[in-house]
Amino acid sequence: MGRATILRRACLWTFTMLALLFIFLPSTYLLLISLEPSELEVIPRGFSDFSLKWYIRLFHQERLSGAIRESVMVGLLTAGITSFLSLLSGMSYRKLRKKSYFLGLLIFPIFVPGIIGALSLAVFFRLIHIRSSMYTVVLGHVLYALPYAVIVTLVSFSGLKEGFIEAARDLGASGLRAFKDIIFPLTRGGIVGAALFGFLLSLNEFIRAYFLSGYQETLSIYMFGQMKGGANPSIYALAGFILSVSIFLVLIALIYYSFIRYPSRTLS
Amino acid sequence: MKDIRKSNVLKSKDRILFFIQLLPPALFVIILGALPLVLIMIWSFWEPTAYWIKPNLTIAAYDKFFTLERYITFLKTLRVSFTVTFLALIIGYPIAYFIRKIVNEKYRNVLLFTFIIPFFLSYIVRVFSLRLILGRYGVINNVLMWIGLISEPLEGLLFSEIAVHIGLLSSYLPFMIFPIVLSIERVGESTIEASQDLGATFFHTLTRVIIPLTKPGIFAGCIFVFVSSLGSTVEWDLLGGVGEFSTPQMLESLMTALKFPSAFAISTMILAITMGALLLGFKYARIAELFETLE
Repeated sequence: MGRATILRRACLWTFTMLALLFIFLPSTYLLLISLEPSELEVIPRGFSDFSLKWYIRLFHQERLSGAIRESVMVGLLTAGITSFLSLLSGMSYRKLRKKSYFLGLLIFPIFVPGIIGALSLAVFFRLIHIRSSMYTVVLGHVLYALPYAVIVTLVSFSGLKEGFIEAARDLGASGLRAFKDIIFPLTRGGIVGAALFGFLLSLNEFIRAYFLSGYQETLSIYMFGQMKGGANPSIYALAGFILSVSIFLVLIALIYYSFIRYPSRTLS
Repeated sequence: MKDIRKSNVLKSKDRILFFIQLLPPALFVIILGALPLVLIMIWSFWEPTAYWIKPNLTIAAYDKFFTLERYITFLKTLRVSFTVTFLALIIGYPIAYFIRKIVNEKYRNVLLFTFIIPFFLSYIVRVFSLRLILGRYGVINNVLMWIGLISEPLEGLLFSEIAVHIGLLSSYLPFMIFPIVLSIERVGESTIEASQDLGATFFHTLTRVIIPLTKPGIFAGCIFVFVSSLGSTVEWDLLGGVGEFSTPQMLESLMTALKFPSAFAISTMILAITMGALLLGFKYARIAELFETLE
């Protein structure tokens, strides 16, 4: 390796690390500040000063628990529907001739700006006399998460060889049996991934929920209202709480994916 | 083998099953994703009533866009989105190159995963937390004062257009990196070696070989960052100053004021820009190539 190459590499390393710092420093700093017991906007001095005081106060707020319940329900429904629709997409995608049209259709919502997707769906529901409720938020969130979930699912389906299914069918397996014993075990990673995308994206989504929700607000809407009101320690705790939940779920997913066995790799 | 598959498809029972699997996701996206967009495009030419709209062909909403000087805000939002896209590209490209071509496989996945994580975290929280960095008593001011570069905290870092730029950049930088990583992956090692064997310097290989071949990724990333910046309210709401007003915020207030055709007209223009960029991307930058790995 020449000196120029080494220098270039060192520069790129530093550059990438700076970018990561830029992306992660603010949230990390917020998490630390949320643990400071006084009302000052500072990082606790030492480990003994860390306190969950503001977090505990959080749970005395009536409005917050309603918002959490709503967000969890919306998230679970979004996860279920997104994962089911992604599975169906994966199943039909492998039998399609003109694959790119179908893929283009499923992925295009990615390219629609969030606020326009939200307001167009809101007026559409108004047109067909569907009142805003938890379910309208769920539909908006499925639309938002589906493109990403489909990509994850299709990646896992690409490990599924048509020959495996044909072999099962030739050996007398019914369609259902082939699905249960061949297709599902091989694509489970993608289907679970689709559900996870659905839940996490829904939990943290704001603008669609804002336009589509009824009387009951979601966690993001509640938090946004608080943030616009101005900074105070309980907002840091609230933000820290929602960050921690997402980080926890991402870690669970990471553990799940590092332990999952990929039968398709051993077979092919 | 081929015959078997053909006869399978022809079996009517399988065929019905195929449509049962195909239709729900396709109809879901067509009815809830595409149809509402077509409707608001049509409705932007209708006439407003007290609470809703009525069918009548008029360009009043577009006329107001110019006479009420809404276009000034629109142009400002476009400018900010352009700048953010450009910055994301010059920051994101080297990172994508680094991740795909320089880092070894073990760290590559870790790095890729690290850049995905923000996608799963609340964007409201991430944008809000920038206030702690940019504010009067924030990290940047503290560090600069500690080094001694400034003696008074800098005003105007937060609640300004600069803050909005920084917020949008931190929200959407990962979306620039991923498509470019995907397209760099498609440039074979042998192509790069061939160029080097022919005596090209690193710079020449980069500008004459790698960048032209990764056009699909560059285009996809740019469209994505641009469109997302154009439709983001949170960054403007939480980081922009009192005087800062953007198109998404305008859409929000028009909707609250029940001025539907005006909101639809602005949405139609944003959609037209988006569709135009996508068409260009598919036609001249072969964006579709990025998805070939899924087939």
